[in-house]
Amino acid sequence: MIELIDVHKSFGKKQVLRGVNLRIPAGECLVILGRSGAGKSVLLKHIVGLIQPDRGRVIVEGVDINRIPESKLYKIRKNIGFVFQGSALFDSMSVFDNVALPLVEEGLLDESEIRRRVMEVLELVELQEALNLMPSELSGGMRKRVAIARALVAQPKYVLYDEPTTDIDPITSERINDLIIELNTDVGVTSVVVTHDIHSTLRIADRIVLLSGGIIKVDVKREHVWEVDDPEFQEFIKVFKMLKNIE
Amino acid sequence: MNAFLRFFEHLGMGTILLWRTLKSFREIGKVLKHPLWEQMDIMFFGSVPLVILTALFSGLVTTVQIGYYGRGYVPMDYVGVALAKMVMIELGPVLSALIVAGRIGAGIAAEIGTMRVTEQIDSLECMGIDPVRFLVLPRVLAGVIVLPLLTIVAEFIAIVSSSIAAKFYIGVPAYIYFHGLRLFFVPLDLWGGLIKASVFGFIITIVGSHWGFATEKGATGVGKSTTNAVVTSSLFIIFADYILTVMIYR
Repeated sequence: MIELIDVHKSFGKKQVLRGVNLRIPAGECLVILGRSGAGKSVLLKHIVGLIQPDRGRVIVEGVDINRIPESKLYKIRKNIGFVFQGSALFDSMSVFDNVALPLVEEGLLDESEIRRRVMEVLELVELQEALNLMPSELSGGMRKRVAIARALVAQPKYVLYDEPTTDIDPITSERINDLIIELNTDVGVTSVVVTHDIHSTLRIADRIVLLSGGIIKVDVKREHVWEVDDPEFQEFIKVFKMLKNIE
Repeated sequence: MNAFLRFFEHLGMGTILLWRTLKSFREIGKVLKHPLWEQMDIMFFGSVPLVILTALFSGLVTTVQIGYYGRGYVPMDYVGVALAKMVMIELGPVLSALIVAGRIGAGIAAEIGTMRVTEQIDSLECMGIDPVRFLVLPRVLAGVIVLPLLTIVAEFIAIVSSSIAAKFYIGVPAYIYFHGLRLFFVPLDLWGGLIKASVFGFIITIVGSHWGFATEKGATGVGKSTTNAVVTSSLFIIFADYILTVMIYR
């Protein structure tokens, strides 16, 4: 389980988080919804300790990750896969090397086992043909899927997705949504997805929280979204309904 | 006041990076194979043409100048020894280091800086990989090993080009030139220069890495870091040169 307790964060004079309280049980697919600049990515980075809170605590599996030595934090991070908004693939490495890196660095598996695991996750994201390509040769959607494969290869308990469907075409976007659902329901991975894409949100979420003004303004199960009367949340729902009407 | 604070901010960040790099030597086994060789390859073969050209012309120019200044005061038979000492103690290590600072130091800052702004370093952290061990350690080790090698190349080329210049500009035949060189050769001249080169290699790579990690604000930030890496490492090289010269040759 992941828990954020009264998390505050400011950058200079800008207060981004003003006391976020959030509990993410194992096996859940939580979507953090919010407008651009609401602090969603900042919140996500707190969960892996890439950003430390000014005040408050971040607890992963019972451990306050900001009060442990770096070596222990690295061990906890091995249980968490992170898919960055810009994919963050290593430019100088091929797709295979990018995906294999967490396993190679761990040093627990032999070469053939690493290859088998890499092929398995690349197959999952339907990119087994792109094995030897360099990141510069991939499209935006392919890069994102390689990033997901890399996040999954070490079989983490949690996967955090930062805007997984932003800037990619609707078809690839749907494929990524399916993948997130598959991993959550079939493999049991706990997923935390940050997005402003309401269509994706309603496809994949078990629970949705709205981050606004630095706090969690709405916290609702997916089946109850239509009952939420928060005006900002309703704006998102309105966009979804408009899209549905066009369809 | 702002610049003053930023100076101390970078000093602090640099010191932490230095400490983390030294600490990461515990995991040296992980970089000894592929990453170290890759970096050594990039640093040596990427810099050697520039180093050869610079050393070639430095040897020529210095010899012509020694001929001009020393004519009538210094026996021309001693051109070889004067030049060799100058090259081994000072010109070889410092010139090679300044060239490498411009090429490799800037390259390291740009590469790590780009990785910083595109979240690749965050990504390493998320995988539980220490970015200092992964990115800085192989570069620092390669710098410490490659700089002395480049210095040996520079010294060899400078001495050969100087002997040619000595024959054509000041009429000293090669055998007299090399006889003088051998007569007054002291091993400390060579070792001292190579020790200097190793320290310069360390400075260039650690300073380049620091500016890479300190990069912020996208492409503009990468550009600034690259410039800062070259300026800072050049200043540190000159400063360290003085300290090392006093320590080794006083």
